[in-house]
Amino acid sequence: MTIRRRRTAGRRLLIAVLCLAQLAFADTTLAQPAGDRSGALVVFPFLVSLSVPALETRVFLANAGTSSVSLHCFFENLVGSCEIDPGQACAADSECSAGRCIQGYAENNFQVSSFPAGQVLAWAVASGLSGIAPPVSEFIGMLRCVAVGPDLQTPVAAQLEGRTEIYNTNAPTGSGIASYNAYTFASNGGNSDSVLEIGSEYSACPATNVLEHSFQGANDPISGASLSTTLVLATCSADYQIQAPVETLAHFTVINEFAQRTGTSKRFFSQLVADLSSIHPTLFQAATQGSLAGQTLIRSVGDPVLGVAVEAAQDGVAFSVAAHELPYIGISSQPNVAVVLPPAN
Amino acid sequence: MVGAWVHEQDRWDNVASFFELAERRRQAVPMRCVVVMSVLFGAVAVQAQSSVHAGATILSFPRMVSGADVDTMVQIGNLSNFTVHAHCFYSTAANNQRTTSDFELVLLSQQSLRWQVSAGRAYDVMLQAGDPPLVLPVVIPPVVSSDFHGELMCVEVDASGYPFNGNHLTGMATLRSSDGSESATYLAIGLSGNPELPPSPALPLDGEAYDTCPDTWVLSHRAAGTAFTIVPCAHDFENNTVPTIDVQFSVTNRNLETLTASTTLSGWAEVPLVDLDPDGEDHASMDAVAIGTDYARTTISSVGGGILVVGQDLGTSSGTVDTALNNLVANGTRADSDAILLPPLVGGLP
Repeated sequence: MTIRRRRTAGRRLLIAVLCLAQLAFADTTLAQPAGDRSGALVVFPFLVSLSVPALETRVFLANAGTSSVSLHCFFENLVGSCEIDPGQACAADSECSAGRCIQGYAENNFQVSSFPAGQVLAWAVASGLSGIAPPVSEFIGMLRCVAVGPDLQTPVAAQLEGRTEIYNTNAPTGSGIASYNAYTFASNGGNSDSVLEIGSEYSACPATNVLEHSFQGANDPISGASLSTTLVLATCSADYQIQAPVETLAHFTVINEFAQRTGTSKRFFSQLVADLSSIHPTLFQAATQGSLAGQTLIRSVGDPVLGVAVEAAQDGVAFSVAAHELPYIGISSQPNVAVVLPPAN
Repeated sequence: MVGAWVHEQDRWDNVASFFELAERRRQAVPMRCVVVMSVLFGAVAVQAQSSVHAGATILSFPRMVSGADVDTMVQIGNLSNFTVHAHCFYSTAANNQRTTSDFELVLLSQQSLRWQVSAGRAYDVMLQAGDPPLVLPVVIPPVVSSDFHGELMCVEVDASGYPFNGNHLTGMATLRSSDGSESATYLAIGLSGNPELPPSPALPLDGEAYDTCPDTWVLSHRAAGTAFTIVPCAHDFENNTVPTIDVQFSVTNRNLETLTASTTLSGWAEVPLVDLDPDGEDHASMDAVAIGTDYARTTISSVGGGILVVGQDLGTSSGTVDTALNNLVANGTRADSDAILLPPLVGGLP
């Protein structure tokens, strides 16, 4: 009898705790980060502006809210330099004639004092936007924009939208565009300091990113072109106070169309821009997988990540690209994921 | 295709019977867990709004094109650890009449499949040295027309073909020119179902049983060369009827000047911005001159039913092939609900 009472009491306590948890969950949960929503923090995981190859990115940033906001935006340039020839820019070891590619990290920020409701800003990264965004060239990196108050420091809730178009500057205008939407994080409006806590004050990051892709070297049935995918991963966290890249380790589970699984992992700092073949030389090959396409699940140990995929189809001189952000499963429970703003001037 | 469900089931006879038994056993435990966990934590509760990022029960690909110059590759993935079934419908719609062809899809644990819309996909076999061959028991038919401009919608079902609110599907589509000079990708628009509620062949997009369609769709874009592919949220695959919907466009340029225009949707439609006639303006066309700045932001809303939208960058090189496809930002939820009606499950539930 005593045992039964204890069990009953324990069950009631459990139910009460669960009910409280349910209430707490309902009150504090924010929408997940998304490319098809607006939010107070906008993350563009991949911007590129290079003279060779001639690549450029057009950024679209819009205020979908009903009131004007201010912005504090941060470019993170992760272009590396070759160990043997420091004057040579690189993104991977294969781009250096000898030695390793040493990843760089440089942060460059700008502020927008008034971003009216309903307005859209658009600019090419290399050109900048007069009086608003500085020009940035020889750039492979990302852009984060945070909605702030009139003091240009205090984070506020807002409805920002972002989109990019990556294109070859040698191609005819309007052709050869790879487009993706920026990830947006909704704010609960409860933050007043310089640490933007992702997962509590802002939407949480994905737990598992899902990359639907063709395998490397697969022939496109439509055009006969050879297909390859470049994967971009960017850490959710950034620290603009200490200005150092954030380390994480990404695990890849590759599942081919026959549901066979293989896996690998890759460590990187703040941003990974990698042809799938450079993540693993054989794992992502169509010849290895015996399959045209597959699904790769990406989980990180350390800081969670946001992803963009760029698929290229090349057939002789014909070359085309297409990009998309990554769907995901669940939200990360990783603690201490945050964007840390620099101290006030 | 009314009543095609039965024929599709016949086509599956041998394969389906095997999967059905395994499926029921596999799904029994996870489904119980889903219901219990959702009651306790609300973690898998319906999001109440469409998403391109989360697993969904209903996947919409508003833009499927297959012709001499361009074709579409579709890839659909299963995000779960068990086998998932989907009932898919290619359809074209115009003048309030829908033409549909359907097929069923079986996806093993975390499997994804890619196929060419004009060719479909036949049984596939992978030979392995020393091991039994792997067989993909999937038959995806080609679209019925050699010049197809329409959509694809897939609904997650159980092994018997009855709707199943599992939210396990994700997908993307890539349109590519036959000469390989242009590619464009977008993510399927997903509508999640509430696993706590019993599904039925009529899927109400009411925010309770399934996500509601967005109130407005928004895209920031270049003033020239932008178009939208628009389909109704409501799909009646039983009677193949299509609602008439008024679609309204509000284009705001960088100087915050706004032009408005409207058109009527009676099925699948591709709407180049330049083809719209701005309301109360001297301009006969919503072109770059009328918009007035190089860039603009277009908000799309509808009256008479919800809509699903994909944005197109038409480029200026040839103008015949999409150079980029864009998922739009979805804002708010419609006050009125829409519904997706599946064809009847002949023979009823087993």
